[in-house]
Amino acid sequence: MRSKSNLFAAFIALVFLPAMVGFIAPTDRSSGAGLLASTTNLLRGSLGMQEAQANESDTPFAAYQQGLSVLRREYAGAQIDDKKAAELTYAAIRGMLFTLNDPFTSFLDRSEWRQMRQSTQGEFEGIGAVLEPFGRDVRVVRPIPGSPAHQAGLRSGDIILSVGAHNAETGRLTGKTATMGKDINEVVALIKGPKGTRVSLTVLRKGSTTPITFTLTRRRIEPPVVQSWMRDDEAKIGHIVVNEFNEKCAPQFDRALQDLRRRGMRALVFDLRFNPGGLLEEAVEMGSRFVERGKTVVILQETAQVRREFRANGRRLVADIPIVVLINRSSASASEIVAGAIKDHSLGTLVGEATFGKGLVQTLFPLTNDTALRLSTARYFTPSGRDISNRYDDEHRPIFGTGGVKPDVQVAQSEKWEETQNFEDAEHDLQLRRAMELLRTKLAENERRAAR
Amino acid sequence: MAQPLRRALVVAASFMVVAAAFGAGRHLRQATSQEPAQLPEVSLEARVAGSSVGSAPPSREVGDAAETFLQVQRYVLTEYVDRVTDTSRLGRGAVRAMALSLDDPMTRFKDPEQRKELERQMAGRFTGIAATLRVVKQKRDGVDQRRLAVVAAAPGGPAARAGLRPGDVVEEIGGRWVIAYDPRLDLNRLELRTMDNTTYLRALREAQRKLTDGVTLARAVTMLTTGSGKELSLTVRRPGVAAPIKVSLTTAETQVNPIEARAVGAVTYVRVASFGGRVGQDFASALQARPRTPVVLDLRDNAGGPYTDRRAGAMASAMAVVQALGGTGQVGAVVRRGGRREPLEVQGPARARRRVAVLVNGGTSNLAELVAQTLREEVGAKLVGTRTFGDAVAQKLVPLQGGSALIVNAGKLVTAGGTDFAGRGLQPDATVAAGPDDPALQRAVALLARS
Repeated sequence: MRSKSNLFAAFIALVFLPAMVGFIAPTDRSSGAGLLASTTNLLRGSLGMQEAQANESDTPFAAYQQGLSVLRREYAGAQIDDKKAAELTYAAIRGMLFTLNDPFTSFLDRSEWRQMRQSTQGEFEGIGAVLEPFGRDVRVVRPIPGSPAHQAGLRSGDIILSVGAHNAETGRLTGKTATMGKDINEVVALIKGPKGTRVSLTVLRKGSTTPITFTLTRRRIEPPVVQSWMRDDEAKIGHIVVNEFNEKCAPQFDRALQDLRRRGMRALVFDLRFNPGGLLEEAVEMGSRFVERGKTVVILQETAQVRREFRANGRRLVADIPIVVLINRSSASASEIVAGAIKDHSLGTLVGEATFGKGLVQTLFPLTNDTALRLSTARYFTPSGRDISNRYDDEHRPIFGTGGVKPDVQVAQSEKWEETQNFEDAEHDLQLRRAMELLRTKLAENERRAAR
Repeated sequence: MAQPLRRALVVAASFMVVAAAFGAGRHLRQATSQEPAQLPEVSLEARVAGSSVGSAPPSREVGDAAETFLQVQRYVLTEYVDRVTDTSRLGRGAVRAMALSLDDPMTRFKDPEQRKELERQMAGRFTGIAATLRVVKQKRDGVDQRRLAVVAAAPGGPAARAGLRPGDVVEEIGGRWVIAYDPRLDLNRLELRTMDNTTYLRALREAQRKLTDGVTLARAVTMLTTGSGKELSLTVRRPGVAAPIKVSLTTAETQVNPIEARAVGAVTYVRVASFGGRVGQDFASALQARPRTPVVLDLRDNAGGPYTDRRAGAMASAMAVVQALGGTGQVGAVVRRGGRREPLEVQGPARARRRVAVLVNGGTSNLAELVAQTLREEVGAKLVGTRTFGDAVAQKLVPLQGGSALIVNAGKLVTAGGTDFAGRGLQPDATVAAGPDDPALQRAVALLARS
């Protein structure tokens, strides 16, 4: 009976697997290194490999093989058994990729690839709490509004002490696992599970002297990619935050837009701060919300010869109202495409700080052994043809400020807001406040002009 | 009850794998469907099995990983945004990373440039600050650290003139921290549970800044061992000194004669700064010129180092020094993995034993320690000076294609008497600290005169 329900749950998860193709949401937002994945150039020829095979003694593979045999024969520090040799091979792959000096190219081993697929699924079954590592512990960043975690009363900052497993049928507690010292992914695996089943969390909360235990019933969760507010009820200024560019992004944006319009929105703050990027297609889709049909959103340079322009698809939804785009140093990749397109076509005012500066597109290649390669495969330019990539110093560290999309109005953020990065906190958000000032002025100007 | 659940999960897991490989959307499917055409498994197996180095055929696990390597190589060569012209660079990166991943400072990769530099050093030609450096692993404040230590400063070179000593740890170069560990680990030690968000984020950001502003160990070694005419300011930690020491120096080319012989009264004094090259022959002729005299062998700041082979290179010249002073036969061994012993034998005819004193200090390391202890055991030599460094790792240099090399921790150096000096060094028979007019040399001469 139970095995059947488990199988069923696995099947539901599978239905959504295709939805996560080529989309990567970095787990660490502060890195700002988002990823653009393209589906474009997989069919390019295998010429390079043939060349490599022609001169086989000089391939990286030959060097790796020689190095591995030397270590297996000579190394005295530890026995290099087959398992160790496989680890060394993965190290070799990473080392080979490292010489490209490209921070956006990487090898994903089995668990990294699995993690990515899980974390990038637009939906999952669980309790709906965003978690982060906190020293040796894992803590709640925030409960997703409306989720079981939110309804049960979990709060931002709660430190998880243990996770209780429950019998799927009776719902009775069967055992507790202490989480201190565990990897965040292990903790997530403990908490996630088929919908309808129960899990309990014991947390340490600031200000509370004893741990608090919550018992929750798992549900299907769709983490919001888009958040929106009507920030100024008088001037009717709407605020839409897009957290990343996955496949849920455009529909959620459209819904938020519709809702704000119904409430009489007259100006829009489109917020791409801390948005690390995502799917290339989604960037083009989102760019098309602003850019006139047929005009360029982004230009892809795949090889020296192959250049492709992506044009707005005609689903333009924001054309009639003043727009401010909020950007900062953690707006990366797909965010920069959209911000760059809006800037180059003079469709809005960019406020904030220069963006991250990543003008590279990556493609995901699945490999044997359930591993994958994330490889930079193209450059992109904004519609005016500008390369927004940072330059790198002689140690291959990006020189911030040499690339990126520059704001029209530079506004530094308050330290208070930077520390929490809480979009609910409009009071300390100097960039948002400046954006609203600009839009109010613009609206007043428009009114005066109309009155004349 | 647990049984059916487990089975269900296994089934679910394998479904996931299948889905990932084949079901995951349009372009992924294209990539996988190309696999068989582009990468016939047969040809891979042939290539793996046909590798030039004689080793057992790889197991399935390594074979799979090797196949993954080949796939990555192919994608990099065909799909990467920039055309990769220097493929040997990719290979060097692969081998370097394998060596690094063993997390053993005594196993490292040398690209052709670094290998030449190493050979120059073994012949006594230094650039940079003219010091032998070593990455040492240390646990400090509960964190495993890798720190850059001075093993020996070449006499007359910038490091020696600036007063750097064996055991000094370079912590900063030009005000930049030499990255010894991931500073984010510090956060684990802080009282996180009582810490508020702001403090935590500030600490995290500070740690990240330390990491990005820092100098990697590899980069630090390059900065300190290459070039000339460049001004550097270093911050150095010296054992037993609480405050960090600031040192300014200018890199220069430094030639150290690996061997220097002279008479000190009735005693023959020979300083051997490093092993390798012609040191063995030169040492023998220096002694032949003064037969039967007692000998002071100065091995201070002799850092030993990688040997190529027991018949050529540093090990051969070390053995030649032992032979010239009267050592014969098997004088020690390299203990390989699993306890297998490769004997170290003195080649050539037996020479008359000399009365010997060996000058040692904290910079006497590796092969130099082997020689010192062997002479103590074989010819009754007296060790004079301070405790030696304590490095018994047999570092074998294995040449690779294209001029690179792997220096491999290939075992442990032990003397015939079974002395294990790893980590603890050798305690001298007469402890004499360094000072003006070389009191250690005077003491050694006096010892030889008395006996």
